[in-house]
Amino acid sequence: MIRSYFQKKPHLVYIMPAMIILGALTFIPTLFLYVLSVSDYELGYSSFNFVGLDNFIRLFSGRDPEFWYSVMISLGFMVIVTVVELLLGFWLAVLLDREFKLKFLVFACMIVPIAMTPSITGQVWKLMMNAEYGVLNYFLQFIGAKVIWLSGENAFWSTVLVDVWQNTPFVALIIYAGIRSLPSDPYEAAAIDGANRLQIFRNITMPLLWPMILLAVIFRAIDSLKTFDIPYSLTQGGPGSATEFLSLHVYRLGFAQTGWVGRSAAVSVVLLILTTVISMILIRAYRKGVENKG
Amino acid sequence: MAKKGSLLIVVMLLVAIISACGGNNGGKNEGNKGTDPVQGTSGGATDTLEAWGKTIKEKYDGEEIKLAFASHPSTESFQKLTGDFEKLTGIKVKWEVMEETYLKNKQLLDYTGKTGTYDVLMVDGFWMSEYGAKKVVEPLDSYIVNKDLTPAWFDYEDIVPAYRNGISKYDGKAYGIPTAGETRFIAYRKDLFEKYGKQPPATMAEFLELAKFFNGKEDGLYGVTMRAQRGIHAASGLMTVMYNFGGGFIDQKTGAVTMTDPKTVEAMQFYVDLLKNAPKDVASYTHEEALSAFTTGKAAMWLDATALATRILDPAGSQVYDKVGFVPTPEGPEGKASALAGWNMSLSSLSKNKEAAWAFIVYMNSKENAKAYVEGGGVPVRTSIYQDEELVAADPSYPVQLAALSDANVLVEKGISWIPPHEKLGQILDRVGYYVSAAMFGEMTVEEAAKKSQTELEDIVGK
Amino acid sequence: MNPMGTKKLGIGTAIVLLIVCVSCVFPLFWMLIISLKTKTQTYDPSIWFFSPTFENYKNVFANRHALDYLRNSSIVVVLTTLFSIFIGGMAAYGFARFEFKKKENKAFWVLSLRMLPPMASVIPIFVMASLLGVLDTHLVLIICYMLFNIPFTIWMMRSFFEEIPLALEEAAFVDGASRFQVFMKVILPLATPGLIATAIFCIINSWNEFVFALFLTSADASTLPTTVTLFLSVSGVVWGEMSAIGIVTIMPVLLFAMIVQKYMIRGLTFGGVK
Repeated sequence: MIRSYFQKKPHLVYIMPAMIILGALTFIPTLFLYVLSVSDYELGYSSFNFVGLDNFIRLFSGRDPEFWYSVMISLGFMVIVTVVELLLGFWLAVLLDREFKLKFLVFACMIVPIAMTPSITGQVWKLMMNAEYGVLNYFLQFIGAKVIWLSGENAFWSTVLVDVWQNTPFVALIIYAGIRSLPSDPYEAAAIDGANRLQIFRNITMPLLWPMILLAVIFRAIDSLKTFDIPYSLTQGGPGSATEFLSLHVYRLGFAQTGWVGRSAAVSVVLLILTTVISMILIRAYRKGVENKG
Repeated sequence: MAKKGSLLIVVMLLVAIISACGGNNGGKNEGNKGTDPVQGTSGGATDTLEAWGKTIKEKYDGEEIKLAFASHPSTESFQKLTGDFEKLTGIKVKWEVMEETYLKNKQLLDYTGKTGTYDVLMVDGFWMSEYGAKKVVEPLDSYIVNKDLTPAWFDYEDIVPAYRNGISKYDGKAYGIPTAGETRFIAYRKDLFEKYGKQPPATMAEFLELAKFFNGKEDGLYGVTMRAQRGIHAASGLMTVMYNFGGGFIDQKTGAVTMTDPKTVEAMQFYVDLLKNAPKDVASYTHEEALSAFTTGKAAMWLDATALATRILDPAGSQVYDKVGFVPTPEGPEGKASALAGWNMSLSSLSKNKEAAWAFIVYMNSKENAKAYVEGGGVPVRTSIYQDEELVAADPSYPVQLAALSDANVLVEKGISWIPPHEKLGQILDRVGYYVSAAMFGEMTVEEAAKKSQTELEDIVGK
Repeated sequence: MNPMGTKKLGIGTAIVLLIVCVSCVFPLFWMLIISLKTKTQTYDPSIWFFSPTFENYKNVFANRHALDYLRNSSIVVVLTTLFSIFIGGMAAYGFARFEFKKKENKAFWVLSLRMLPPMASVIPIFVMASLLGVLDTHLVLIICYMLFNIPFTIWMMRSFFEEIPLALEEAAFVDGASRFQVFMKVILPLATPGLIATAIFCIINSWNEFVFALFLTSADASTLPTTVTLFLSVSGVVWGEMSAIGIVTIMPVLLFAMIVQKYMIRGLTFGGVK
């Protein structure tokens, strides 16, 4: 019977293993997370009680003052780095779209940030950004400036800077790859029609590149929303709460010193819902973009 | 089809989880029965180190113990002694050394996951109440009194009483052996103080005044540097001065939260005011940054752990090694007081090798090896070491450390433990540290910070 | 071939690109410098010329078990990449060659899994792993990394498979091969460039993964990225050794990525533009 079932649906043989593994790895933990989020479980204790929606009420009623701040800076961080990386990346991609001998070398350099381990990258930047003996301030002193990179006011922007450094090349390469694989016929047609460069860019290049741009946005928006590694090694969420993004808030509540796993699971649920909603919106936009084009 | 399959797995797992949660308590007791230390060992000579080594070797030759330790000068010193221990006892030692916040996580996760990966844990005095209450670590009294397990040359009584009572006990029971003790004191720049004709501070008021005086006095010079990073560091920094003002987080007799007590508020105000004379990014400083600000000559005074003194005096890492003097924590309105903190070695309650692990603890912390340990860079905890003439000659901060320790005793005599003995201490420090740091940033006034932390602490403690 | 107009490299562009290159490489370069400095030298950024010391490298291999971490990382990354590519590749083929109900929904569900924040799933996975007794093993990391590697593989390989002409497959069917044989012997070899491109990203992502490794492993299976936690201490951040192990961590993947640069850039279109 099973045999005939598979014969009727031959695709199952191929997609089942992946689906089962992915299902088990996402469905169960997510369910488990929901269970934890309505409990008062603390790390290291052997029993816990169910407390209903208390953890969520605590979050939304402002009894966890850092939570809203976390949500705000996480969303702010997402928007800022995505926009900056997209603009810079686009510009870089256009600059790279020409022929020259040492191009492979430029690519080689651009791969460095992509391949560098984020947790270690954060540490190196922390050293470079040290106000007293960091190399960045050493350079700045030549123009008579000094920046306290990791102070309360600047730490957020320093984190943005490191993220931009690490991920702009990735965005640039995606868009570059997109530009290089543009079909040539529409351009030939446009040239015959005598369209100017702006018209070509607006009416041909942008629509064709749209899926790639959206793709870069999806990657960067979601990855920056759940950012953890870099702020973890760069600032540990501080000073104050300056860089305590949602992931770090989860970490600090549930582990670190306090061990409120239940409360931190509630924040995780919020983070999960946020990423799911945002990625659904973006993916939907992406699918539309691809279909329109296709 | 796929849906049904995964549903089944979910149900099975849930059942497993629930039963595991329910069975925890029972399981733990059984574990303890199996390795009752008093009956576990008998016979075999232990009166000298060599004889003990032989006895241990007969029993545990070839066994492996795993250690979860913090990166700390003491750990480095223990690592130097490990070779000899392995040779003597045949026990293999596997080290895992990591940053302390991460260490605590790892130890608690290991305990929660019931993995039992580690045998010996290095435990901060600050964690002891929590670990004791959660039964992460094994009570050690029965080990200490057992002459077979703990030979005379270990000499538990030689460990400074303030440490024994202050950092390794919970609920009257010993859960750890102090390995690295610290109190806190001020290091100041002798050259600067001479230049401007100043005397090192003896009272908190003088301390603040001097910090103001030196702040910006020279190019790039700040008045003072301390740890103040949000969370435990800020809380712990506040504690350094709090007791001298008579303040506290909780009343150690009644258990009531005392954040809004005028004395606590005064101390908090002092701490915030003091750090206005610190480097601008002091709110991101742990002991590490505070120390390097001082050793690179950026600050005139530094108030932090005695254990770090060796690094200030180290010509290889410090630019001010030859220009520093030390004085104990200044006297406050409520008299003298000084910090009492440090690290312990404890037995993991899940260890499958408790006696071999205990042998390691005995060897490393014994009076017999204390000198080698200190010479290797370890932080002393024993009276005999503090009084050793040779060592005192080598480290001029010892007498001040002893003086600071006697200040620490002032608290002990008042019946106050410098580290508040509360099983939720981690959470308390985190919250206090958050609000102190917020006050430092000017996000709220000190009074507001005190009020808000009062509310949160009541929530934590009352639970 | 160049629809946006053929452009030459102007001097302005050249300067911009030079700046980009320097800033991309500088942190790596600085890390290399620090790893070769002595402890006091690390606190003085104005020292550019000094006789390098290999003390830090010696220490990380002798005292910090760098080799163990390297071994753990390699085992986990190689196995997870192989499994992910095989399982994900099969699924990608399923998506590319068959029509079935709600295919696109399933495909995008898969894609959305890549978006899961690891911080949200690591707590429950930790508890599950502890119940199953697989904490601190290579296995647990291999499986967890599949969580982001398989969706990625499916997504990338699907477009590569779709580009392979059906005719080639049909020819093999005529010769009497089964579909699975065709997949193994015809399709996979033809999709090699895509497999390489996919593998690079799987390798980079797994090699650098931090959260799962941090929480799920300790003494026996820790990977290189977790070593950053080793160097913060009361006795100072050991910048030299940290940099040394950082270089050890980054170099293998970086060199590999540079060697297969061409495939990597090709792969970055992710089938978005065909």
